Amino acid sequence: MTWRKWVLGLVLAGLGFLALADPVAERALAGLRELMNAGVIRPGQTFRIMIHSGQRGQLAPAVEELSRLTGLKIELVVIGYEADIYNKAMHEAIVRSGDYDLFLTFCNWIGDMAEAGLIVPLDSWIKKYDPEIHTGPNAYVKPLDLFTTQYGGHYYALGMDNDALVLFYRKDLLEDPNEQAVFEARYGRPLRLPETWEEFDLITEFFDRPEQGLRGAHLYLTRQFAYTSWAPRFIAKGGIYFDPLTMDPRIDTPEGVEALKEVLALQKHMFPETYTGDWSAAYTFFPEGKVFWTIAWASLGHWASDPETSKIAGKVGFAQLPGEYHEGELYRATPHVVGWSLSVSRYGKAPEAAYLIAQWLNSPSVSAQCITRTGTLDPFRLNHFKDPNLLAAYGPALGPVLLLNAEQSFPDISLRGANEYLDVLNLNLNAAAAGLLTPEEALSQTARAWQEITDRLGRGRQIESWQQEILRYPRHIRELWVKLGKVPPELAGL
Amino acid sequence: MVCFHGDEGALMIKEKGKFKRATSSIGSIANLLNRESVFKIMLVTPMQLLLSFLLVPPFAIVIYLALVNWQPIFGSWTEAPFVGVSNFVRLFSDRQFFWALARTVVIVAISVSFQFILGMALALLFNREFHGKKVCVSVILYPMMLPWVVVGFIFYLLFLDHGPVNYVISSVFGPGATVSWFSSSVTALVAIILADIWQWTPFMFLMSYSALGAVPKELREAAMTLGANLWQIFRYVTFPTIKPVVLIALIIRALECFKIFDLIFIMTRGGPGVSTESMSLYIYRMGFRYGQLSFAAAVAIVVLVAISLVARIGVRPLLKEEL
Repeated sequence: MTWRKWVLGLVLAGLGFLALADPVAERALAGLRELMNAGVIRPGQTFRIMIHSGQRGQLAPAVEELSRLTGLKIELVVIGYEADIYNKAMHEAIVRSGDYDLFLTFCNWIGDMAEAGLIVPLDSWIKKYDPEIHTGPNAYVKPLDLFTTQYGGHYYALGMDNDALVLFYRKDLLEDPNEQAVFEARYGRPLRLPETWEEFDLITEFFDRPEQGLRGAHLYLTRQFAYTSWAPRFIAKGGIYFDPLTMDPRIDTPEGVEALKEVLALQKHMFPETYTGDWSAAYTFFPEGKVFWTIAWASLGHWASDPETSKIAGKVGFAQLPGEYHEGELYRATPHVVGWSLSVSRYGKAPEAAYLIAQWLNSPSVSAQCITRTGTLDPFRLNHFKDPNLLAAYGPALGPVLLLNAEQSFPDISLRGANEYLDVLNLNLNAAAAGLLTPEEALSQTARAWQEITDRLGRGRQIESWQQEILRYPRHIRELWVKLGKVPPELAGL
Repeated sequence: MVCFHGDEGALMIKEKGKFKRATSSIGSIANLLNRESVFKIMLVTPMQLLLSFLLVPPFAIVIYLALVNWQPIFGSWTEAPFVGVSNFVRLFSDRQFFWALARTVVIVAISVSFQFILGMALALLFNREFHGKKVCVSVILYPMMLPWVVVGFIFYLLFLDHGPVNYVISSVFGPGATVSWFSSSVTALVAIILADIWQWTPFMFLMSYSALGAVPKELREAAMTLGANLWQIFRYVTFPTIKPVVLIALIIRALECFKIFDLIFIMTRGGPGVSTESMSLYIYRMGFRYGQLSFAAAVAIVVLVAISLVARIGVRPLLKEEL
């Protein structure tokens, strides 16, 4: 038997295995084979995917495997700093070099990339090759299927991630009977997982023990992610970013100011790195046992549960984010912060082939393998939450919590200009955390800047987009908005 | 054929053993070349053409962008609507622009002043022979050879809340004395300026040291003989001699420092808020993070004009001396 037959046999065996195991991956491979037969692509042709450094370890083995299976040369172009991915992608929209075939970016940048003509709509290919986004046992967790894939009523990306935030806490301390007794004696209520933000704040204060090297919490107030600590309180209070009829900002409202004051009041129980550091500070302090709890992405579960990277392995608990009561009913709002999605470059060599590469990586089995490896991509398909390898990697307790949080999550602002809207909010919240602005000033300055952005980008189109975006919020939030008169019932999609 | 210039400056050509005045077209060209101004132009023309080819089209695009309203999300830049000077009008009503400008000027003034004082002091210290001088000079020059990014990371790590600087401070003065360097605009700017001083004092040292080496010993000796003290020698003999070099070094450093980006980007990203944002970072945020390339182009033009004027004022003393 010649080496060619060996290779052919291996390829066929691989394809056969995948056909049995994963129809989504098989359809992608069959599509690539067809394009190759039709001469659209050729063996050895190079395809380049722009990714963040945090995904290299997860994607590199899969990309190697796909290169082996197809004979294509698939390369990962690694960018070190997240915000640079936006800059480089938008640069490609101007220079149209064709250097990239796929972009793995934050899903709330899809709007900007689509409007700049950089990425192509995927509707026809999704219809043709069916990546099983919405239905079936391997579908995306809802509502991630909407806000990691679509913009303006069209599909522009395949979601690769689930960035619904999780509350990570020191289970050993929270469940310690001595601590519980002291807490109850001091506050007149039991020490338990918080349902409301008010309880969260009390417990943070209780466990803040600088003299023992333990701070109460680590919440992001950094330049890039300050909104992630403010928004869940703001939304749970019934706040909404914009008026759905006029696009006037609604953040400098009593809900917004109160939410910010609450967060800033916790600063005395946190390290200064909450606003001077970056996102990785939580990944340092919490696994080192220096903070009682933190709110971060699911990948922190990997770090904190692994004895090699954590001093508190085995002592970590996972929970939903707290909420607010309205008329006796608890409303939780979990932010889905960034989230990575694969989109196809208009200027790539063969966009359809690039889409099929994305579908293969996104397929239930391949994505599960990728996410099992440590990195910044987290479980987003229903099958991921049943995959034994993946559950073992995340720990059995985290899976159900992450699933619940994802189902209740609300999206980042994903309008045209989303990057600018969020950055302005972040820098003003960060300035408030540094004491350079009062909460009122921070939010009113943001509101003024948002008005200017909306006017510049076209208020009519932004209103239309915002009304579509409202429908991607979880049902209970939309119900709350209607109850509080923030959104007319006919726009809430209830 | 042999050519030379005759007594009256005319080109003479040797033909058949006799010299005669050149009257042909070759002679005219040769005469033209003989004019000093034309010859100078001929020397710089090739490089000027190359530079123009490299500089003019991008500069024209920047001017075009500044006069239209375009962001990548609006579609093709060639179809952007003309808005006249509205980007410039917006710029002059933007408080963040003026703050970024003021902050940059403060960074330049403090940083370059310290670099000059320290660099000059070191140069004077090294302007004599001592054991191990060559090694010391090499060591002093190392920071200048490091990339900005590396220096930024080093100082970011040094000034972290739980970093070495605070460790030293708490060891000496107690835990309560530590400073959260990046939490306020003043302390964050101090950290940035310290990083810049550390990296670029060697440049001022190098320039001053080279200039000092060229000062004739006889001048100093004469001054000493006449009873001048060390300060008087420096003030009236050494400094006037090295002044042109120092002035050029200051202008180069000031222009370079005005463009400061990497250090701030690595250390604070312009934060907290925008309180350490320099002019370059402001342009980067507007142009690249927000995609407002038309507005960023207008800012860039205004900054270019401002820098050119300041540089012109800085160079004027040198030109006067030349005259």
